[in-house]
Amino acid sequence: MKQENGNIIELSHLTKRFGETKALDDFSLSVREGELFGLLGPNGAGKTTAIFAMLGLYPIDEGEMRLFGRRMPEDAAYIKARVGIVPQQISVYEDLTVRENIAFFGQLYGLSKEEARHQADAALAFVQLSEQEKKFPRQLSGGMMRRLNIACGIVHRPKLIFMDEPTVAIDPQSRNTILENIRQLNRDGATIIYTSHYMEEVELLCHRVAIMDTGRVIAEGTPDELKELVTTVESLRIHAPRIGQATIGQIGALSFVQNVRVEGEEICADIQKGASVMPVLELLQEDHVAFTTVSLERPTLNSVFLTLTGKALRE
Amino acid sequence: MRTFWVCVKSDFRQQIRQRQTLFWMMIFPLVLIIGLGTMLSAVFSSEVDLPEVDVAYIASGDIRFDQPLEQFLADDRIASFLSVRPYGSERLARAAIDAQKADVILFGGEEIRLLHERSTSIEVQVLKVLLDRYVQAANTQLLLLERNLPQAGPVDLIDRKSFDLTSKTPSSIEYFTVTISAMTALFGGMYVTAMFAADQAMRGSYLRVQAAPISLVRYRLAGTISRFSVVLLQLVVIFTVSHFIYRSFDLGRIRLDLLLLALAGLALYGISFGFLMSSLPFRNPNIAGFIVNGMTTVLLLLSGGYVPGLDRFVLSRFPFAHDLLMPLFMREGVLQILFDGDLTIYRDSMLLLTLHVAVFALLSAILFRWKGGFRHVPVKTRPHAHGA
Repeated sequence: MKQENGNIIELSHLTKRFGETKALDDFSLSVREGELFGLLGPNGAGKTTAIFAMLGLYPIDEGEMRLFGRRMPEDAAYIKARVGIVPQQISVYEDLTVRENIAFFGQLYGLSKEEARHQADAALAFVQLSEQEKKFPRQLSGGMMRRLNIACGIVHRPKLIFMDEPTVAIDPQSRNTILENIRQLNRDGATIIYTSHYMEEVELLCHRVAIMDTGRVIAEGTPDELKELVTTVESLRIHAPRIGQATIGQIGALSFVQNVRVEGEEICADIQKGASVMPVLELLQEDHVAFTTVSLERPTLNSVFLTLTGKALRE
Repeated sequence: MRTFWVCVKSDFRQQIRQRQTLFWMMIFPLVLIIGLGTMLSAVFSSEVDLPEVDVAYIASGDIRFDQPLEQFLADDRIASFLSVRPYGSERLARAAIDAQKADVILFGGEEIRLLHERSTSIEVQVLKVLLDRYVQAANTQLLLLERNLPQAGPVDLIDRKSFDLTSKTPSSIEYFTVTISAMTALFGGMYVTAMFAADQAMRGSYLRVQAAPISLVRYRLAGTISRFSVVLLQLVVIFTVSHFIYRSFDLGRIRLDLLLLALAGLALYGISFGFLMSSLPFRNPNIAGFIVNGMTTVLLLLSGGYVPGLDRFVLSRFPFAHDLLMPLFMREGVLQILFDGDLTIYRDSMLLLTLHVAVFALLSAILFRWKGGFRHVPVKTRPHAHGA
């Protein structure tokens, strides 16, 4: 069940205080059913608080939360039964086997013993841990643990899944497997709220992204929309060791070039987004300046984030 | 309800899989019983002069009743811990008690009676049980005689199975068995409390439980039942092993319902004590843990749990310690069940235990409130504040 406007999550003007600190400050967010939605922000931005509030773990001080068209916390039981969580920390029982962990969390969401067994089979196959089903978590590799963490969160086939940095501290191969799992879950109809410090993951995976800072959403849209929002220039870099000051001056005088500087043996120029680099290269040829490589750096979510928050994501 | 039992089962499975749990809850107490218990019994029986029970005996004057009783009391195994001295009248016997020359007064005759001020010593308890059995056996013989039925042969008035006193004194083993039970219940309670403390909000697997559609009260209750089961299982094992090793009490005579009630009470005491300690305003949980362990050690030390006999010294200096130190009053109470003894003493012990638990619970609640623990319970929303 979703709201009439198609939103599976509707948060309006949430405020959550911890003493004098506002962890959420007039926080509003809408997520449509079927979306793979990225939530980005530096440490302390309020991402986890927002997720915990949606899960009914934190009482909020002001505002309104609707999930599946129902109000949290009034309809907490209804909402919780349809939500899955994949926490950042590995959240499984050390003294239960892989299968027992998955089946237990399934039964916690109301599955019968038989249903839990059946769904655990499916979840094990999905995260490719069928051969490890009798092992204890301590016997698994880091990547396998992450996959078990995911299996425990999806065994009851939730409609909405919160994933808090599910790929942190694992090898690239395991990461690729997990990212493919997430895409598949989304293709199967689950709405996913995804937080990560890895911008490239968010850029690759998410349909829409919200950037949070100091408890607020400061920008929201598709990755391309966000890039449009903040970027007016692209960075041109040319490896030209013997370029002279005169040529640099001529490049700087071009109408679409905003700034030119020399960094070691490279010349770096900020040029207007979409402008052609050919006039710059023609100038170099005319002045007989030898150059080896030319690169044009397009904006990334990272640069968007940096521009919007003034902070690197790991701060 | 199905989810509830799923939680109980899962938690129990985890507990019995933990090596640390198995060691502290099962192996450690058994090693203590077998190793330390044997050592102590040897020390008690060979090197230590146990205080004897001085019995002021008043014969009835009827040889039919006096002779068998005096023969019974003269048995070497009984005489090793009883010093029976005849007195001509009750007045003289009471004077002996006042002069601290006697601990109890024993009246012979058709109806045997034992007078004592307070049955704090195990020897008195054993004597009471022996006399009870003597009376039962004598009554049986009289009944058979009255009905002209053949006698069942010589009756061993000392139940060898239950009171094999040839290699042990009656005080050490029962004392040790009960003390070790109080200790393990207390340790069990600590263990249960520590497990609850490990369930930290918003962290680990408990975070998943918080996010799931299950009442946290139910989840906690399921955990409590599971861990109580482990504690009770442990105590049952201890009592059974104690019985088979020492033959110090007759399982057939034990009121199992009362014993289980006592064991449950002991576990509850440990849990409430642990909750009180964890409610103390220490930011570092290690400090609370240190205090819990330290308090437990002191409690058991003063109660003679580690140094048998220290309890007598403590009680002689601080008589009120009897009502304050749980292992002391519970040992008395549990002994009554083991020896088929005076249930009034058992009830008094349980009453004191209940009182202690209530005080711990009350103090925990006050401290919890003081620390602001209840503030996070209500959920606040202002649904109409923004025209929703």
